[in-house]
Amino acid sequence: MKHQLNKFLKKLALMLSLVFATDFGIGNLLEHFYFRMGPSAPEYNTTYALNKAEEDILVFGSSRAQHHYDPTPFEENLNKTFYNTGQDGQGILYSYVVLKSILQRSQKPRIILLDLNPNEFHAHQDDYDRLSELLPYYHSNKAVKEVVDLKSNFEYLKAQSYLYRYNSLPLTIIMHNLSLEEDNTEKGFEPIPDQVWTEELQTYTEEEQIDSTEVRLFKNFLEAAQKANCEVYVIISPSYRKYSQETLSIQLAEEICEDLGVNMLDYNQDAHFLKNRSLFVDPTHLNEDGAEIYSKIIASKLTAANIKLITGLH
Amino acid sequence: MLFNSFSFLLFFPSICLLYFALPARYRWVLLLAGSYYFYMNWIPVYALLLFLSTIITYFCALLIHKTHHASKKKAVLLFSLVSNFSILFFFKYFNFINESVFELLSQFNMRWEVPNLHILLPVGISFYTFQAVGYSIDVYRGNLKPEKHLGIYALFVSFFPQLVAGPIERAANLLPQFHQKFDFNYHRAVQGLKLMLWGFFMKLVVADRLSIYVDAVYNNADKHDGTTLLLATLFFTVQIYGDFAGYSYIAIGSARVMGFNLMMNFNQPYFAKSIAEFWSRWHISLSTWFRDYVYISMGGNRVPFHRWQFNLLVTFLVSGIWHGANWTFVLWGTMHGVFLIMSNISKKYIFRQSIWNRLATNSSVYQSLQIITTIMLVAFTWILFRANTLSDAFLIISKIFTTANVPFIGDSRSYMVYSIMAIALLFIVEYVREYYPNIELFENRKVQVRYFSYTAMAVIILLFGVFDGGQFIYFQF
Repeated sequence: MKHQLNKFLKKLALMLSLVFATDFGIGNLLEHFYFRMGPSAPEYNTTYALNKAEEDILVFGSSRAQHHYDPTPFEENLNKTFYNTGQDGQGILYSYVVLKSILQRSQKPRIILLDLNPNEFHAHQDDYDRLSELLPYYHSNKAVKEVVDLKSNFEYLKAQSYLYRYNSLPLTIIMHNLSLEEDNTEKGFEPIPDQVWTEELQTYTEEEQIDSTEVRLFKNFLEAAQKANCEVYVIISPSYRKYSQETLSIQLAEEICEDLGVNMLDYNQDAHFLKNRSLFVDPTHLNEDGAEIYSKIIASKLTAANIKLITGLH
Repeated sequence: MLFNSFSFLLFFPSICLLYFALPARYRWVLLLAGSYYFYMNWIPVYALLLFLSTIITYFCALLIHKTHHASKKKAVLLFSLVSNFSILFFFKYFNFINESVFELLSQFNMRWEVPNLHILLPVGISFYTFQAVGYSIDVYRGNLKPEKHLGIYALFVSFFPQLVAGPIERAANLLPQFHQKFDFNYHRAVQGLKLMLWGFFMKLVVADRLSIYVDAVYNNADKHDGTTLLLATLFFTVQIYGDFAGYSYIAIGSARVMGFNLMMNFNQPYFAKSIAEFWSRWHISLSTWFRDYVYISMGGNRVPFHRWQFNLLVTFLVSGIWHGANWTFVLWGTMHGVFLIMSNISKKYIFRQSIWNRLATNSSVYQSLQIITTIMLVAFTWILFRANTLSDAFLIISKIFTTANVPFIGDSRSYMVYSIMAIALLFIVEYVREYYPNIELFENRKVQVRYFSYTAMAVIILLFGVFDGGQFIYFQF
């Protein structure tokens, strides 16, 4: 038995060495080309937001942020540079990582717009699973590590594998290195043209189980932004669904914003948008026209607030 | 604990190391404790149900063996079956029956106000209940002497590799193995690890990848057209195989590393040439369980022709109910029964001439057509299996036959490419296993080829496996 076990352990060691060497070799290759992907890649926005973004106005949030905040009205009205760091499928966990990374650099943003979903703090494992998108930055960014480790107890061990960090990315890396895809974004904003929602307005209710970690990181986000002297706005952008009552997430966000003295703008049930389904692509996302109208509204709101701030009018 | 969780990657080697380090007489203690730990990682209190089922079947079997009166034996067996099936019924079928009665009475404007239970289905309850019940019947029939060692018997019911999704083992095969002393065996360990590696590929790279598309489409069936629904159905046909067979391979492989031989559960089922053959290749441990304990108990095929068909139909109906508490599963099982009956009728009355038999055995084109037809029929029944409700299933079927458009791909073309690559690789390997078993890469005579294929498989799993958010489909059973 001892002889058989020794033979097995030797061969297992050889096998594992082969796997680790391949992991290292292919993984390094993927890493090299990952960071060479052009702006057409959705991952480019993450790389830019984490490593380079130093615009005056920064938008944070999920797909709703990414598709709702058009840079033009903000740049024109406020005469400031703008970047939208919103990302499909992400939420406060991702936004927190991006903000922490940006604040570590010397150039700080002046205005921060954090777009919250009406059910932002609803506990959902997907919120953590989707942090996989941040794995390529795991070893180079402390904020990424801090949040990605929340995924599971063993994330630190898993992230030692290069291949795991670049899981499901090879084809994306090839396509965007060969420039086979078009860049449909403008400073992070990705409009959704030519699509209109056609279904009737429906009442929406979802029982929320609050994720205390997400609430804590939301609060940390606001505190960190305030500490860096940024002007912060928490915004709930329009939905094409009727909420019978204010969601628990919005109530919590309001309480925290009030405690910290942060501005909160709630457009979730804005009548203008609720009456106009042609501005949406689905109940939670505005199309290009809707985004343009909505961005103008927010930009003018910020302009008015800025004038008050400059002139001291209240 | 899931096989595809990191916890299992730590748990399994630890158990193996301790297992071979311990003196043989204490190993059952380790395996029993490990199995309960494995099970309690989900909802700890449900281990009590596992324990209860163990205790009932253990003492009933001893009593059955001791008793000499046939009627008393029968009464004890009945007690064992009723108590085990009552637990299963309560946790798995109560809400289904309750809702069905409510629906039925509503049709007659009658009220039924028994509230549903808000409980989660205990993982693997259908599997371990069937395994324990099978043991009771074997003892009753005199095919098996009861196990006297309570600890060993408890291990038989709870053995972690096959506890939550099978294979449903027979006591005659597994119980004696717990009394044997297995020294570490190089070849067995390597064989086991190869099976596990292949199982992880099937589960993580194939099933979990395809489930993303299938879920997106089937959960919004009304929003998709026929082409998309057809594609999702074909994906589900592969997904369910990858899910369940993958899990079985991991189970069989992990048991084999420790020296135990569990029965093979799948044998290239999508190369079957008829529905009957499909059931001899698909979920073998369950189909043989139904054959031995339900079908044969009713007389099997040693009865008049019409009674034989009735036995088949009932067996598949029960099999459908076993798979899930929903009318979709009932109809799924019934449909398979009907297919088999149609096949028997056609064999008896239509295709008796020898020319058909010659064609069937000699023509590769005819055989290919048989395989394709079988896959199509099976895929069709999977619609019922996967659909959330009967009305969803009918909607999907009608849309598949009436609407067509460019299939929905979503915003990720790379997803489709990975899915198609995974399916292609799975079927190439299955094809080789079916028709050219001597050229399998994992079994190649050249060590370089073997090592290359192991490494390639590990890389494929790490790079293309889906590691988050996946639950085994069979967990709802």
